Amino acid sequence: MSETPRATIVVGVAAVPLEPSPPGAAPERWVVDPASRVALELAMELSARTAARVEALTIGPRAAEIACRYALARGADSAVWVDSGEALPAADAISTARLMAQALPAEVGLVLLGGRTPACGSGAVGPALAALLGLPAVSDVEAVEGVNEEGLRLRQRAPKGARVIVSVRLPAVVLVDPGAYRPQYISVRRQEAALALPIERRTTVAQERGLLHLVAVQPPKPRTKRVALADSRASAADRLKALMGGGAKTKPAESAGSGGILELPPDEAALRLIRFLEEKGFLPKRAEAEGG
Amino acid sequence: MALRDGLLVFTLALGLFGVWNLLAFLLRLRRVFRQVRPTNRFDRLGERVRSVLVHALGHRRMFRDRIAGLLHLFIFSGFLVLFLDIVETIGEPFGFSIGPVLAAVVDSFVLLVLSGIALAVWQRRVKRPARFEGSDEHDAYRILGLITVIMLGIILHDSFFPFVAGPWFHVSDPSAGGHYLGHALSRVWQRLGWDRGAAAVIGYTLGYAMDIGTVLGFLSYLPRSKHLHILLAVPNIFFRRLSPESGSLWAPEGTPPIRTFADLHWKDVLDLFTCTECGRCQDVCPAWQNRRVLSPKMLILELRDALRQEMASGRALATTGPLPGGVVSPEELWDCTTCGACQEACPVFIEHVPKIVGMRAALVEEGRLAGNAQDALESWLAYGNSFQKPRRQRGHWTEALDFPIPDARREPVDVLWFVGDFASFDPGVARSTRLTAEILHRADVHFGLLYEGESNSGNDALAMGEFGLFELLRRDNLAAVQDLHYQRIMTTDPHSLRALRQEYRRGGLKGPVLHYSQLFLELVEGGILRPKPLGRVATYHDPCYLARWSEITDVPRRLLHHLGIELREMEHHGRNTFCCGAGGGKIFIDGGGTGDRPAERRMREAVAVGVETFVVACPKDVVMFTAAAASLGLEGRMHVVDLAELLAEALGMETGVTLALMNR
Repeated sequence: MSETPRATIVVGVAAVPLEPSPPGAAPERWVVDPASRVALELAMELSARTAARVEALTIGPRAAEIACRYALARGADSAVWVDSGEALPAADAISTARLMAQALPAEVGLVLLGGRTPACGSGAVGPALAALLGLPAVSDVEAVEGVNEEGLRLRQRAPKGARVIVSVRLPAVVLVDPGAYRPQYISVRRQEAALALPIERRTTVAQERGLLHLVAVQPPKPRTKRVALADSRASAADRLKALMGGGAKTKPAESAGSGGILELPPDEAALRLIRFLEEKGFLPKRAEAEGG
Repeated sequence: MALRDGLLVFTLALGLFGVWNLLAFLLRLRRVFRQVRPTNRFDRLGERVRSVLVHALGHRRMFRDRIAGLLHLFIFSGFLVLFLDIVETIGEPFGFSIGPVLAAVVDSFVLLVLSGIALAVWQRRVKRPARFEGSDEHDAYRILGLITVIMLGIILHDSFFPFVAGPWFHVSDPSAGGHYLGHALSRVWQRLGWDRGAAAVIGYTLGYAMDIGTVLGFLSYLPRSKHLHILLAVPNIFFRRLSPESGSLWAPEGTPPIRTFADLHWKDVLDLFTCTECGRCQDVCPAWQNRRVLSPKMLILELRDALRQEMASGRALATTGPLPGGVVSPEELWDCTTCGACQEACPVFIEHVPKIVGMRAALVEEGRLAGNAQDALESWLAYGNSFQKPRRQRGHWTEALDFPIPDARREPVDVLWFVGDFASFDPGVARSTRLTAEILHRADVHFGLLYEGESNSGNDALAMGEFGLFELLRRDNLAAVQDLHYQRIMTTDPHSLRALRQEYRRGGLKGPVLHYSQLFLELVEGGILRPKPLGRVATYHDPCYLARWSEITDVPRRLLHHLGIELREMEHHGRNTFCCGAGGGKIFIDGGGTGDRPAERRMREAVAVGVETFVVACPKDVVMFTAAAASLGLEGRMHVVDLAELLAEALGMETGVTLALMNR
């Protein structure tokens, strides 16, 4: 992102009900969507590196304003709240994307959104927005590895723990992996100080509002809760297994393979450890070693 | 004449130089005081004077370590009395004398001081207490050495004065018979032939220089030394926080986050320069014992040394720092459990905890938190509890009861029970919560709850430095109780107790606030509850927030006595209790440390006194010590029991049914 004119990072921040409520009933309390906070964290990091402006953008009813307040408390330069009248269902990605597209500034360099979370539904807002704007979209981003005039080098989470490095030209839409950053804690005093900062409010016309309408919310069925309290009479190994896996079995020492949790006398444990290291190639097998 | 004049010039020159150095330091200190925050410590003057008499002259806290107390008393009293020597030594060339009686007193105190020094050296070289780790040993030995020089100087010049009094000063020596130490040495000089001429003059002058020269030289050395406490200890004790304000984590004037030295108040600054580096605070610190980074002593010394540098630089204090994350590491600050043991142990009443809390607040405002602290804070903000449970579930524990508990928001009650988070939500504590309710019901106490109107008291948020969150929670709770009708408030949680009695009271909370042990004792001693003696042996763990911050140690013990418990005290008990490790938000912050966790250490103390029942009076203690017993393999051998459970058992109430349901 270039510094002249100062590029803008738009970060989409959402407010979600603390607890689900039936349709027609206003949720008691709203909180900032955790994924949005992660996206905001990345936005602030990029801003610190590139001197880009950060603008927070939220779509939603009055309660959504807290997302903007939070962003301002975190240090965003400005905030825009598009008042949609009523909360758009999380599944209505197209409507949300459409409203976002209309609200973006002309000179946006980058749009950051939180990735898929239960609160944000399918995570389709980002790709939908990118499609509407004709921009590239990159999802599951966990870090920005580089910034240059060309664009961004991003690290994506891939299946089975792999990582993919991509380069994307700006402007672009980036979905941030919700586990990528631990959002900075914003103290109550900082949040209260942000109440005095201005938020630009924009309204929507009725036709622009949701394509989907919430009909019902079914609460989760009660499930027995697994309490990880292992039987204190069990051995340390069994207690550890219970805590990790929800069930304890004592493996006979003889049938233990090269891994697992074993409980053995010290001498036998030492021999088993040596054998394990030999199997894994950390130690030369004793026959080879003796052969020179 | 020449000798007298020479000594006078020597004394005046050294004296003026020493006074000038000391005054220069005090002026720099005054400049510092003008740049820091005010605090009112000029109230209740009578109590403050009494405090000085008890703790400065009486050495009350010093004597918790008998040997250290004794040696310090010897040296301290010696210093007081030996002021007579200074006056006499300077005045005797001019004919002044204190007389033989006082002279003998002086010599006796010389012996006392030398004994004290010998004890001090023995303590440092032989006993080697761990609390001296990190202290400036060179400074300590220098001071002991200088004091020794003074004492030997006294004996020396007293031994030669009879030989120079007449020939050189043309005065008599009325004190001669009193200075028995010098008198004994005089005979040696006579045998050696050093009782006349140049030898006598040199001997006397040397002794004078050793005595008066060192005393006056001390004035220049004091500002650089921990020995400055000889000037500052008395005012520091005088200006200490008095009870009940000593239980507050927050100054009445409001406590800002401490980012720079300018954010301290003047008593904080006084604290830094009064520290004697004795290490008693370090010795009792649960974090230090757990081999974490924090040492309360080193924290004070880090601040002191940094402030000395700033004073030397002449910079404005508001431009200094940062203190948290600069002079003091975040790890040190987050290691603290705010148990207050350091403050309780400090003989000169340094206030460690408010400084730590203030610096934590600065980190919090910057979003720099430790471990899971953030989750706890955000849970309090969103849910009003640390368990991330919806507010409406706060009263769910009452469903296990076979009687309803009145909603204090809807009807007047006598006792408003502020339950607290752990007592409401933690399954391991719910049993004792339920039993508390059943006991009160049996006693026909008309008590009620706030149900979902109650939020966390905010004590831990405050201790973690989230002042804004504390203010919010306090506001919510005060609003919830504002128009209610109750006579008293009771809580089972010592952390909430402290906050309710201190910061909530200042916020306008009405009515006395009791710990449940106090209400139980009242019911038992009033004959309303008649427990049968249990005939059991047990130990009782004093919760820090009950014993130190709220000064309640006797009540639970009297209650246990009524229950027929033979109490065996652990090594650390009463106000000297040892922390479980949960306070100050630490129950939410990840562990660390390579030593025994505080709760495990405490369990070992209990094992050492040969008991199988470990009585607690705090919900967090139930959690911490149950886990500690399990991790040490003591389950089945050490039973962690809440006061309510014991009382219920003594009342013949059913206590066993829910044991299995609670998965304990």
